Amino acid sequence: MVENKAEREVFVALNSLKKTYLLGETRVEALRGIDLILRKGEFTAVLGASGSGKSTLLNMLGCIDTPDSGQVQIDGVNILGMNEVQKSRFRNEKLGFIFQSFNLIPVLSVYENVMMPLLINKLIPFKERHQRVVDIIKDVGLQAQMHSHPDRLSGGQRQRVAIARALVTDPVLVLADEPTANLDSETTQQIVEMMLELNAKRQVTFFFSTHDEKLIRRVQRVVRIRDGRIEE
Amino acid sequence: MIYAKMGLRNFWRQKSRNIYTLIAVAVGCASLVCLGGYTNRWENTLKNDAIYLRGTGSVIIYKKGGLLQSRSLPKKFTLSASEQKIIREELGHDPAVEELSPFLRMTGLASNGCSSEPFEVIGYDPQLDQKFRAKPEVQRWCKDLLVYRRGEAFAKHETPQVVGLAVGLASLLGKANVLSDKVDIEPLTDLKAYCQGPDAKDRIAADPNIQLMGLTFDGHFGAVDADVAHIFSTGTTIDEDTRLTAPLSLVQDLYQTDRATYLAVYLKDHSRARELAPEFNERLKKLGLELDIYPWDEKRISPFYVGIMSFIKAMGVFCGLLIASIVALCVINLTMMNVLERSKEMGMLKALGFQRWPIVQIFLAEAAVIAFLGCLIGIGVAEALCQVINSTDIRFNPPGFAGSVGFLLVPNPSNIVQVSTAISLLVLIASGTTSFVMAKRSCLELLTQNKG
Repeated sequence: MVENKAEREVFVALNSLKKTYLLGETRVEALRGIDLILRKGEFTAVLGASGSGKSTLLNMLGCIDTPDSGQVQIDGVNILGMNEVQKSRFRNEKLGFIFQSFNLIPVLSVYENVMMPLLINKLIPFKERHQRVVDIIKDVGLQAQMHSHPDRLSGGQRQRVAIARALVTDPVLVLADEPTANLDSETTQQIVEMMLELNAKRQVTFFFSTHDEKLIRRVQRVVRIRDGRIEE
Repeated sequence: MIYAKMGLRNFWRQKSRNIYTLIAVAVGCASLVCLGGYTNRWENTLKNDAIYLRGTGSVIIYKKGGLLQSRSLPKKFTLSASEQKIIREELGHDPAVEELSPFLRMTGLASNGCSSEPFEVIGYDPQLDQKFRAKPEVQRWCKDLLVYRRGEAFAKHETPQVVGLAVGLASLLGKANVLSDKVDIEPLTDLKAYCQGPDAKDRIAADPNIQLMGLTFDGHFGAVDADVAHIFSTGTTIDEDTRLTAPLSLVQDLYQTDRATYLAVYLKDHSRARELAPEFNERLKKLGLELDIYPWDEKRISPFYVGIMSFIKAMGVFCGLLIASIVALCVINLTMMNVLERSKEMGMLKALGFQRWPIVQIFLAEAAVIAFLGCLIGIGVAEALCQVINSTDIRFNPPGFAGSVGFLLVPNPSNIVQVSTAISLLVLIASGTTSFVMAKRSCLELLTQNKG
């Protein structure tokens, strides 16, 4: 595994990433100089207690928050130099997000939810979109529920929809913020297995946060974070 | 397409709140349509009254200076028979013109044999008047103004020696009966008894005959006998005590002339009056006629129409703005709550790469559904309300009117379209603005909104 890691190209590079929040009058140092490298196709879990900085780290990688200092490079692009429009486009074309609370649009069907990111995607031709959505829904095993609405689905199924939505644009990096936090242990296991399968099949880099120690046995690499610092 | 679906489904999903927005939109729309219906009713009533019943026409042709001086110097400032002929020949065949008719307006004294009252007469073509009164638009809009208080139209009588008296003038002259009442009056040779006898008042009231006196165009004294064919209301108190109407031939006979104060041109499309008045003037100028030509809706020609409509429109705009403001506040408030509640959805969309405009589009699609349904319900409610109100025949006495008029609400399609468009725009702007402002927030802020 170590050899494999060395062979793979550096895909995400974080250098001296710092972030401080002000909560009222309290200064919270969420990230205290993070240095991290992710390689292409890697399946990495970031493990840490609540308030350790996991979500902040994911937000930095997902271009939805900006650090006070440091550098973030994804696929050779310095994302801190981008304006809001460029960041939006980058998120749509290069990144996939899986949220803890699924964040599906309740009034849309599984198919329509998965189609959402493609509506604004300029890289994927219109004609290909339907097939792409159908394929990814099959990949997550929800073809029978394709036209169901999220309120008809179980928690695990909803998270599968969220995974399909995250992968439909063929992103280079999928970020998942505690994707199993709202699921029971059996479903958690299934979801992790599925993410691993998709990681292997599509060679997409996964980076997900969790505070569940049981999960780390299944992943290639675990990054521990405590008090805003990496303890690999 | 997916945005439209989202709009429709979100409408249904959040029906408890959207129903309030819908009610606000529907009530606003219904109120504005009814308000427009009230304005439209008066606009059309006063327009048809001015053009057809007050003898203005769509375009009015005076001899130059005739509008102000035709009564003081009638020979100089009225249109001669030859001038009328030239105008008829030039404009009579114009495809935009429906009819042309001469009018003679003069002043004089009317007497019941015992006392005299000043009058202002309008002489017109009785046949044309009948034709205009039968027009569907006149029948529809001027129902209250068409009915004679007593008697019949001039055209129903063979003799041209007939007049119409305004209610006030008839009262001043003590006249109650009209020619068609066929009351046998015992002839009296003693004029003193006629005027001062114990039954003098009844005798005068029963006798439809009056005498008209005036200075002819040559400055002599002229007089004619005539019978009262009908008693009518002018619709306005300003001329109720002086107005007298008569067939043009009788008035010309009284003033010993074949001239006309003006020629009224009735256009097929009255809205072209302002455009055609100067054009007619140019054409007639080339034929050597020095004229003043006015459109019917100019203040000097139809002061009553212009005055009343200015007031009604000003009130309409004021009430309309008031209603629109209330609707806007309700809609903005409800839309704001809707947008705020869905900040997490917005954050998720931003995380997926949606920029501000596509997010706003999603909310606009929803607002469009609410606006469409709200306006549809509002129009339906307004139509039903108008039907109910119009069928109850509520009558009232507006200031400046001689009699009561029906309270009618008659919305017109263009007004409905305008109101619906304005309300829809209001809803779209309210929703667009709030979602635009909200979508301006950072993705992180939106995603963590509920967490504080």
